[in-house]
This record gives sequence, structure tokens and C-alpha cells, in this order.
Amino acid sequence: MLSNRTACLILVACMAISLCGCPRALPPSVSVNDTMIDTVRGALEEGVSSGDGGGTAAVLADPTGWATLSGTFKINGAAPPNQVLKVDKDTQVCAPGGKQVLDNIVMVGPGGALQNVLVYVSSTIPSDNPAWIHESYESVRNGEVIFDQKNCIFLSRLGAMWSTQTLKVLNSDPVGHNTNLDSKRGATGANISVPANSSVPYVPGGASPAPFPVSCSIHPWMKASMMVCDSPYFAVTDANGSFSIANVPAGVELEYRVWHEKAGYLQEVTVGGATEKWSKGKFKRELAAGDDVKLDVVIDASAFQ
Amino acid sequence: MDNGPPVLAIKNMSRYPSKLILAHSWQRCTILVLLAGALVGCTTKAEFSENAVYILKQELASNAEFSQQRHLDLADVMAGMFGTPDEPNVPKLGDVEISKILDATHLYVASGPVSSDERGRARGLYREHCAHCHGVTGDGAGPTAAFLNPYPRDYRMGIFKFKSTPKGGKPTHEDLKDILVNGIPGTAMPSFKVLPNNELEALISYVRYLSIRGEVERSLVFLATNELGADERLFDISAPAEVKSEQASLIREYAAEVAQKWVDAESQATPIESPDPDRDMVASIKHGRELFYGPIANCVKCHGDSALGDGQKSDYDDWTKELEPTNEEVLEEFLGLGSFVLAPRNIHPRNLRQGVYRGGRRPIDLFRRVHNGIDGTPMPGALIIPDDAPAGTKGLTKSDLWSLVDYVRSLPYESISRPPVIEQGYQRSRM
Repeated sequence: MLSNRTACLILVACMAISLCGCPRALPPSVSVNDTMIDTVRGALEEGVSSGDGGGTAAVLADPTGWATLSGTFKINGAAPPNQVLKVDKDTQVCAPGGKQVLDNIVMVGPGGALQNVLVYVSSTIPSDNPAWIHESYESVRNGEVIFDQKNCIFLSRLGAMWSTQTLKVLNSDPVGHNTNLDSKRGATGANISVPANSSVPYVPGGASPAPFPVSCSIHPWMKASMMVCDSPYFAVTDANGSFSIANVPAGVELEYRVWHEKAGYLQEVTVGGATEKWSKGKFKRELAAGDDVKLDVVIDASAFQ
Repeated sequence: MDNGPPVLAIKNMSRYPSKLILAHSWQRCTILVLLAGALVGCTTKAEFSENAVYILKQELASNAEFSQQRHLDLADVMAGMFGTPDEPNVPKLGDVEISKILDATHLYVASGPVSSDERGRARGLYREHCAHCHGVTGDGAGPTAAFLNPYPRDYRMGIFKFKSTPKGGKPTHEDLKDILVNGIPGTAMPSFKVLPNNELEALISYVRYLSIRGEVERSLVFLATNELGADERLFDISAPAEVKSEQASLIREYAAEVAQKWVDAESQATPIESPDPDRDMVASIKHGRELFYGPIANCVKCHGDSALGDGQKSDYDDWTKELEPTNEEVLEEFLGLGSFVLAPRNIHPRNLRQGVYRGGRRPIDLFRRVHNGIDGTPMPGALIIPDDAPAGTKGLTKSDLWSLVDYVRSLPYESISRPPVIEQGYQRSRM
């Protein structure tokens, strides 16, 4: 006979089982139904037999000349203070005299001038076509770009290079470093030990889709970013917040992207006083041959919080 | 579904007077429902789960929400290209010779629930041998993962530590086989030497499949969050033909980039010449020791003054760095996603006094580690200079590396590596 007590016990037991049965939180999954799979697969593979690995690059009309894009970046409001780094190794070299070392992610100069903003052309540029690459860039095409570290700080918080160039990773310290160029796509990653007072070459072999982190595992507080562009049309703002990209292809509409390590892609800005929304840091400009266009960009400090 | 118990319950109940059944019918109904719920609850079809960590990471980086539509699009594309855990698919990616790395028959044998056909051939090998640690999705977060140290590998980043190719290169077929056959000493990864060769081959294919699938998923999440506009779809099955074909070709381009690296890996193994077998071992070990403590190789900085692996204990591996472990606020957000996000642990350099080397203890294994570094970890590769480089050139020659290997291999046999000798007077006597 099933007494109330037993029934209650079974009830509780059942509840316990049904509650405990699958307690592990699993990552979310969106269920797909089987008929959908075939339809999607068909659409994804349509026209793929062989010889069509990727998309065909859009054919652009050749540029009509060259122009210059320059400008300044300013921050409006108070930038977040830079943090003091915990330097606990090789202190004689890394923090001589016990001096404080700051992370310097947001470098602001007089008048709000914002340093280390990356501006680059993100449109695909046929980089072997002389109609697209100005002759002034030929001398640097296979050149060397220096990326130095001293007192256990990367001297450039943000580095940028053309994918055809070689990065000379310098170590100007009397202690060894190892430079971990952590590119996961496009440009190859490298983690090389750089002996004291020496250098190591880094050949990226391709462009990176976005800036990637650079670090040193011997001194974990050392951090920087690196961008490998697939054209020479890029610039990083200096201590005055200014940048200049000379001899940009004119007469064609190019897409530019703007990035800062702390704020990511800069999205809400004012250019010459007018508000612009740069979706994912992208803006487009078509410059006329001989133009010298200057962009005065102001970003609100809230983007850096 | 096994619905035995509820049926039995009903049969047994028929012995009682109907009045009683009616009197307590609400209880029985509830019991039945709950029992059914308990049984059904755990028998759902295996599904690949989304890379919630990477999606959140990209959401934070781009300051934009990964919309419901994006989740749906991503799931459609992933299932279309790669199928499901029960029915995996080898995607067609144009120029990529994908059949060289993924074999549909192998995938069939390794996938699905654990079972065998009428001739006794196994199926579901991955779920039988691997999924409890590495997870159905290959996310390294199977049910046992949280109890292991180190955690099982998450394949989805496409990074593997113990391999013969340079940094950024995928492991070769041989590399994966070595790991399966030998296991990883000092970790929970066992040897699968007892499996027949065809089953090992099936698992190699399946690990590649999960890794490619996971890395393509990451690439597509990156594409959606970094490249596409907020109202641009990743893939829209009902879009006009030319829009759809453009979307499909972009997706294939991203997937091909990942798969191609696996094809390339087969010819990328770092060539290694054997060291001189007649070298003066004592001199080589002495030279290796100087390099170990010297400023060029700089091993001492991380492996520590006594090579106990205690020189640098505050860094993380690439899988853990994804959770931004040094940023408490962000880490909380990641851990809040669910228990499949494992609490971060620091990565420690190997204690070289134990003679346990995860990537294998043969000299050639150690040579590869020093030459190429270890992907996904702070261990850097060496700066190699040619044997005939002018004196004073900073870097290490290959023969320097062999000396380092000789020295490292001698460490476990130094007297300080042995347990301390306890004087007899203090020893406990056996009963």
C-alpha cells in the first residue's frame, strides 16, 4: 500500500533525480534542424568544384593620381590614468633606482593630443601594381622596421609595418628578452628569445586581420601591439596626435580603419566639428589627385573607459 | 529511450484498488512526469556547442552585441559546413586538398554514439576515448576536465604544443600519432597504443576535424564582429542568389585559410640532423650548463636558478589568456558563462629535475622544444645562427642546442635532484 509518506519520499527522490541529473552548465548551442543542414550545405558549396577556393576580389578602377591624408587625433575630457606596473624582475635594468613604470596605454599630450592611434587603408590594394603603390614606397617595400625594447618596456606601444617588410626586434637591454608576436591569423606568429643587446628578424609573411598583442614572457608586464598591413598606407599618431599618409591612391574610394589599443576601433568621433559614426572604426574617403586632406578628429574620453 | 520503469510502475499499481489510485492520482502523475523528465532529460542528441568564450571576447572588444540572428546564422553555417557530432561532414573548400587531412570514413568511425556494427567494427571512438575530457565539441571542457591538472586541450584555437613544425604551424600527422601512441607524461593524457592502427587513424582525423571546425568558428565570429556591419548577415539562406553566393564565398575563404595550414603542415617539420655521436659528453654538458645560465639562451630566467621551474610562475598560456585572468572584472564575466569555463591557472615552466617531459623524453623531442619553442606557451624558440657564424654573433648554433639538450637530460641525475638522504637514526623502522 502506498502511504502518503512513501509517496512523498518517492516524489522528493524523483525531484532530486530530475534536478541533479544534468547539473553541468554546457556552453550554449543553437539547435539546427536536419533539413536546414542540407539546404545550407548546398548553398555554401554551390559552384564549388575546383579552382574556386575564395572569393574573387572586386576589380577596382585604377587610381588617377596621388593624394595625402593627414590629421590629428585629440581626446575630449580626461583620459583614464595609466597604471603602475608591477616590476619584480631584473629590477636594476627594468626599474633603475626603484622608479615607477607606467603601462602607457593611453598617451595624451598637450591639448589632448592622442598618441598611438593607428590609421590604415583597409581596402584591398593590389600591392604589386605600380598604379596602386607610389614609387616613393618602393625603397621601403623590403625594408626594415625597428621595434625596440629598453628598460623592459617596448619603446613603441604600437608598431605597424607593411607585410613585405622585416621587423627588426631589437633588445637594447643588458638582459635577455623574448618577444612573443602573438598573431593567430594572416601574419605568422613568432616567439623568439632575443639575447641581451642583440636583435632578431621577424618576417610576417602576410598581413594580420587586426592588430595583435606583443609580450615578453620573462617580464610579463611588457605589452605592446603590432599591426601588419597589406599595403604601405598606414600611420600611427605621434606625440602631437598627428599622422600623415603620403601618396595615397587618388580618384578611388578607399576604406580606412582607425584603432587604438584601449578603445578598440574608434566609432564615435567628430571630424572638423561634425559628428561621424565610424562603424567598427571604418570610414571611406575618395581623394582627388594632388589633394592634401586634413582630418581633425576628436574622440570623447568615455571611449577609453 | 528506455521507458521501462514507468510501465512497471503502472503494472504494479493495477494491483491496488482503483479507489486508491484515484485518491492519490495527483501524486502518481507527478511521479510519472518527473521520472519521465529525469530519463528524457539526459538522452538528448549530442550537439556541438558554440564558442561562448570567444563570442563574449569579441563582444567586449567590439562593444557590440552578438545578436540572436548572428547566433542562428553561425549555427546554420557551422552545421552546413561541418555537420553534427553524429554526422560529420568534410567541407568542400575549392583549392584546398582537404582529403589529404580529413577522411570521411575515418570521421564516420570516430563520430557518433559509442556502438558497433554487426561485424563488430567500432563506431563512436571519440566519445568512447576522448570526449569525457576533451568534450564533444573538442573544447577541452568534458565532464572530467575540471578535475584535471593540466586541463585537457581545447582544440578549437588550432594551437598544439608538442609538434615538429615551427611556431604557428599545425602538427603533422606523425606528431598527432606520437601523442596518441605515447600519451603525455605528467598529465592525464594516456597512451592509446592498444588501439588498432585504423582506429588511431580515425581519431587523428577526428581531432583535426574538431580543430579545423573550432578554428573556422572563431574566424567566422571574428568576421561577424570585426568586419561585417551591424545589419549585414553572416549568411542568409533566403537572400538573393548573388548576395548568397558572395556570403558563401567569403565564408569558404575564411574556412580555406584554416584548412590550408593543416595541409601545409605535412611538409613543414623542422629538419633535424643528429648530433655527433662521438662528442665529448662531459664537455657538451658543461657547455650546455654555461648556455643555460648565460644571457643568450637565458633558460634560467624561467626555469629558475635550480632548474626547478620556479623562475617565472605568474604567466598564463594562450588558452587561459583568452579569459584575461589579470583583469578581475572581465574574468568574472567569462567565468559567469557557465562551469565549462575552467578557473584560470598559471602556467609553470617545466621542472627539469624530474626527468618528465610532456612532449617526449627522446633527445630529438627536447631538441624540438628548444629549437621551435612551445606554441601557446611562454616558451620561446631559440635564435639560431649558422655553425660558421663569425665569433661574437649573438645566437645559438645547432650544436649549442644539442649541448643544451645534453645538459637538460643530465639534470635529473645530478645529486641534488635525488631525494635527500635521511640519517639512519631518524628513519622510521618498519614493523
